[in-house]
This record gives sequence, structure tokens and C-alpha cells, in this order.
Amino acid sequence: MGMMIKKINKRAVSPVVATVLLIGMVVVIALIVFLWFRGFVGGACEKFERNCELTCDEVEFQTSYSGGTLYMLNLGNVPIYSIKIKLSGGGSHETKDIRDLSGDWPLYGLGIGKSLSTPVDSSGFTEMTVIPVLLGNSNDGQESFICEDIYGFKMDI
Amino acid sequence: MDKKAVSIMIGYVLLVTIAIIMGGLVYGWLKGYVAKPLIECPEETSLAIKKVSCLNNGNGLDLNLTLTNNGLFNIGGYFVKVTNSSDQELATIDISEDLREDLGGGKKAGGMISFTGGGFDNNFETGQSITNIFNITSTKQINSIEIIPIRFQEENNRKKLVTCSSSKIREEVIC
Repeated sequence: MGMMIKKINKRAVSPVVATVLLIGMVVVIALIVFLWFRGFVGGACEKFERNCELTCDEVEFQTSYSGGTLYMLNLGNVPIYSIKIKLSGGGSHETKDIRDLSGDWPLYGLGIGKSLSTPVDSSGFTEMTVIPVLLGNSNDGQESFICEDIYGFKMDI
Repeated sequence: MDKKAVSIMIGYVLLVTIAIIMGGLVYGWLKGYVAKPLIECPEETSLAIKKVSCLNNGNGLDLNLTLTNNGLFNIGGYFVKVTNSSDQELATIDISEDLREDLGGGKKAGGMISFTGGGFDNNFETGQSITNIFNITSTKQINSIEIIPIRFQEENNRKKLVTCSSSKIREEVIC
């Protein structure tokens, strides 16, 4: 009997404690990295707790143009912070913010049910598209969001 | 062969961590795309112009407007706009501030006429009629009038103003 049994006495963490520690570490690391990454990328624009792009679909307004005057009525339940006027015709086009074209646009935009009539120079152009701009919230604070052209209203002038 | 590798435990930790982070990021991004739709005015909400006329009251010109709730829902108020030119397609002149509140029938409320007296209730009941008188001396001429009813509807335990754009009515009136 020459075998010598060497008893190894190693101390170790209990499996239950190890599992708890493992899950805890995972959650903490995930949270730290998530918060860091979210701050790095920046948040999407939100309005009424939904993506601004979705809110553009809810914007409802009527507009007309005659005698050099733009008439607009906000029929929907979404305030319109600003509008982009896209003028096209004769092979050229330009897009301008209403605040650059007119001093009549309300400071905080066209509220629900509000209306506006203001002179807009469209000489040299044959088509006008009115595109709504919303004021949303993001991680960086309030920011304006220009809706896509499909949410605009096109009219011959 | 003595190949170095990451411990199995560390591998598990990294795997689960990455999965949770990606799940969180996707959730945060998708959250904005699956929100419930905005509250809308019920389609059966309706106002009708029972009578509209212009009268000279001795001090100026008054527009008498009688409205009837011919819909299925109570109404909280309305927006009122007029045109002063036959060429104008869209009514954008707001005459709500010209309401003669002393003659009863409604209250001015920040660009609209309210039937609630300052609260947020839909007090104009179905079947009822109401007459509002506006002093339109400064407007001088009216060619048409447009009415858009509004309701106060509850969302997240808060009353919110909702326009009933599909119930907009327009009538020609010469003043």
C-alpha cells in the first residue's frame, strides 16, 4: 500500500451563491453598457409618446393659396410647430421655412384649430408643397422634426 | 497543445450580457413605433347650422348663429372661422373673440367657443340648440362661415381637447 492519498482542501463558493453573483454581475454590466450606449447614440424624436414620424401621419391641415396669400387651418389634434414651403416649377425648386418667408407665423406654431393667412411670394414657380414640421422631444431636449413630403399638401399656384 | 481561451464562465457572462443589451436597445427603439393611436373624435359627432343671419344692432353688425347638435355625442364647443372674400377657399378669420358673451349661449375660450363655462365638460347635449351672437363690425364683410365642433375626451385620466374635423360644416352667408 504505497498509495499516498493526498487530501486537497480547497475552499470555494457555494453553487447557489455563485449563480446569484453571476446573474447580478450580468444585470449590472448590461445596465451600464446600455445606458452608456444609449447616451452615445442619442434618442429618436418623440411626440405624444410616439415616434415623430408616426405623429406626422396624424397631422391634419387644410391649405390654399390665392392672390399671393397662403391660407392654412390646423384641423387635426397635433400642433404644427412650423411648415416648410417647397416651391417648384420651371425646372427649379427651393424649400424655405415659413418663418423666413413671413413674420405672421405664430411663435409656438399653429395650435389645434388655429388658422393663418399670410402673404408668400411664389413668383416664378407653379407648384407649392406645404410640409408640416413638428416639435418633439429627444435625449438632447426639444427638437424640430420635418415630416416627409408625403405628409405635405401639394397645390398648383 | 496548450491553447489559451476564455474561461467558460466569462463566456457565459459575456453572452448573456450582450443579449440583454441588444434586447434593451431594440425595445427602446421599437417602443416609439407601437404606441397606441391618438384619441379621436367619434365620427357620429355632428353640429348643424340651423340658422345664420346678419343684423344691424344700431352700434354695428351682428352675426346671429343658431346651432343644433344633431349627432350622437355631446359637444364641448366649436371653432368658428369666416371668409370675407368670395375668392377665398379656406376660412381663416377667427371671430370667436367677437362673441357677445353677455347675450349668453357660450364663452370665449382661447380661440374657440366653449359650452362648458370654463370647465372641460361636453355640455351641449344631443338634440339641443343654441344661439350665439358675434359682433362682426370690424370684419365688415362675410361670405361664408365654417364650424368645427370639439369635444373633451379623457386620456390617461386627463381631459383633452379633440377636434372633430370630419364634422366640419360650411355655409355661405352674405353679410
